Amino acid sequence: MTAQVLSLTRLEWYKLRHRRMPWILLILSVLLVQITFWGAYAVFRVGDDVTFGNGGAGFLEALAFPNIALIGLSVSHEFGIILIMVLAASLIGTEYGWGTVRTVLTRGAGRWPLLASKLILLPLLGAAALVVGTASLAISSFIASLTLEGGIWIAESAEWGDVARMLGKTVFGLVPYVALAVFFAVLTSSSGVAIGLSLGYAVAEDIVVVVLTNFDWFERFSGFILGQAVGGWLGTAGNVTFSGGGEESFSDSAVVALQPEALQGFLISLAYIVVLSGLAFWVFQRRDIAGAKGE
Amino acid sequence: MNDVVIQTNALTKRYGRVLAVDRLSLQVPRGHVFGLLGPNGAGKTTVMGMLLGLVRPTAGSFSVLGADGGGRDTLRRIGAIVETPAFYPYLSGRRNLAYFQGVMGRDDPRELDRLLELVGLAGRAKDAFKTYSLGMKQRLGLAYALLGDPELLLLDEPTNGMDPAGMAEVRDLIRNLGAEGRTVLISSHLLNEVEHVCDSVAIIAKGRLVVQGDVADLLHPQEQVRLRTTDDAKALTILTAADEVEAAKAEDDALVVTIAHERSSELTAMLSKSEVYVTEIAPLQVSLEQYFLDVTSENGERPE
Repeated sequence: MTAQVLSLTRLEWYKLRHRRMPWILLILSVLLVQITFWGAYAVFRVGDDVTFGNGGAGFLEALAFPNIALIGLSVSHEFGIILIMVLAASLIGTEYGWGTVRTVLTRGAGRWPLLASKLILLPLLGAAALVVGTASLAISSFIASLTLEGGIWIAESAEWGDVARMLGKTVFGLVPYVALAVFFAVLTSSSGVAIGLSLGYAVAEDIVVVVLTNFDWFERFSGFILGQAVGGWLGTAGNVTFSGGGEESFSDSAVVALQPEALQGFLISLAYIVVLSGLAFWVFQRRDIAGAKGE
Repeated sequence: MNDVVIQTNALTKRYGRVLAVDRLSLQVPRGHVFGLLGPNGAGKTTVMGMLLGLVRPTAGSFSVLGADGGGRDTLRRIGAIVETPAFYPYLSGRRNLAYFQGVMGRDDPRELDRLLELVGLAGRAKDAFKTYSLGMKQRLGLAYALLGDPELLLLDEPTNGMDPAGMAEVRDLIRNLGAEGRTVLISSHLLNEVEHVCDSVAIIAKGRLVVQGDVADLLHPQEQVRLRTTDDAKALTILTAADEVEAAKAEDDALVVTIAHERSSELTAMLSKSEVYVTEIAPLQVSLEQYFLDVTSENGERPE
């Protein structure tokens, strides 16, 4: 059975690599990372000593490898959530839209192995995209270090092991969102609706969390919200910025303060993965498969 | 070896208040080309969907190739097209087939070439599926259904969208598949096609089985012969009085006589004794279309 799931995963990749969509999403993710990097670079070039302090030493340190990889993963995760949900919803939804889910199942693929293969492939693609985005950032970092006075390419303030750990944590942080998009796609049998619901959920959650941080009672529940749980799992490493200190965050500090501890964040994220994937499998297993919806 | 390849027992499917298939009990014999006929909405595609595990029956049971309720391993021995063949639009015809061959756990490029040649798509095999005409999509669907040399084929409207030459080719292909001993279940609204391709048929209306049997038997429901003579009026008088003849009537410049099949040869002798000579005699055969219209209208269905 495991061999069949792995074979289907390989075949999913065979199909997907001939589609334009994943390549467009990959280019988009690299572009977004590069825009963030060169935007920060531009601000540094025009900034004064008050903004960056100590002649910008902290910025230059953050710019160097492997620190830049940690920042790259942190930035990529922010965009990656959106892009991986679009890809996940599309990967499932188009099977309904084109009617190919029926064609696959009538050749004995099996419902749960088919869904499992997609659920395995998506985080792998997310990991690959994170590696590509981070690699592109390394090249930019090298170029930038050559153009800045006092620029360094390899810093000593971070361990390479931190990069590997952060990569693993960031990939895991994408999985609950994959499960969410897959669940919506299976439930609605539509890529468009699933993309809308997934992105809508992510945006609505951000807004709700910011609003509810004003209420004391929210402190008890905030850790159970998906974005907060994932944020807690990623921890301060997830909030590394170009300031280099890790004290500041792109996120609102009150929201970050309500994030759970890493272990709790991991367990809550895992619960989301299990429940959402379980529901997706349950619905997919039970539901009648109709013909093409023409999406 | 089990001689029944598909057996359904009181198979039922209900969608809310709509009863799509109502206690359907079918038997498809091994090695037969079996036609499933019925007006639009009669439940043909739902039946195929249930046999292929795409649709969950509300009640009843079925077995396919000896396996109760089908199953994944059984599906690998079945080739099927359900409604319009659906493939990945951005992949070429060949890559689509290679993908589905992989799903079956196989990798045989020569089979792909052979099937693409068989269905007449070798020249367009590298073009994206989305550029195919409906007829070409149907041909690719047939190639897909034949992947892995299946024992059983379920073909839903296999000539839909094809030009007359293509339809004739597919009819020949299906006949050949049947001649090779494969079992083929084919649903079609083209009754002429079914009549010429199928050994047996089942007609369903409103999800219920109306009739099932060999095509030859269904199209000769009564033992009737049509004959012309040198004097039809005199012949009618003689035949009406004869004990061997169950009924005789004049119809369209000829006589239609109901008589036991084994005694039909006695008609000529009977008439010639009275110096009436038979100039033409033939078994009366109704077309499948006429038969279909008769049985579905008896069941309150109006075919579309």
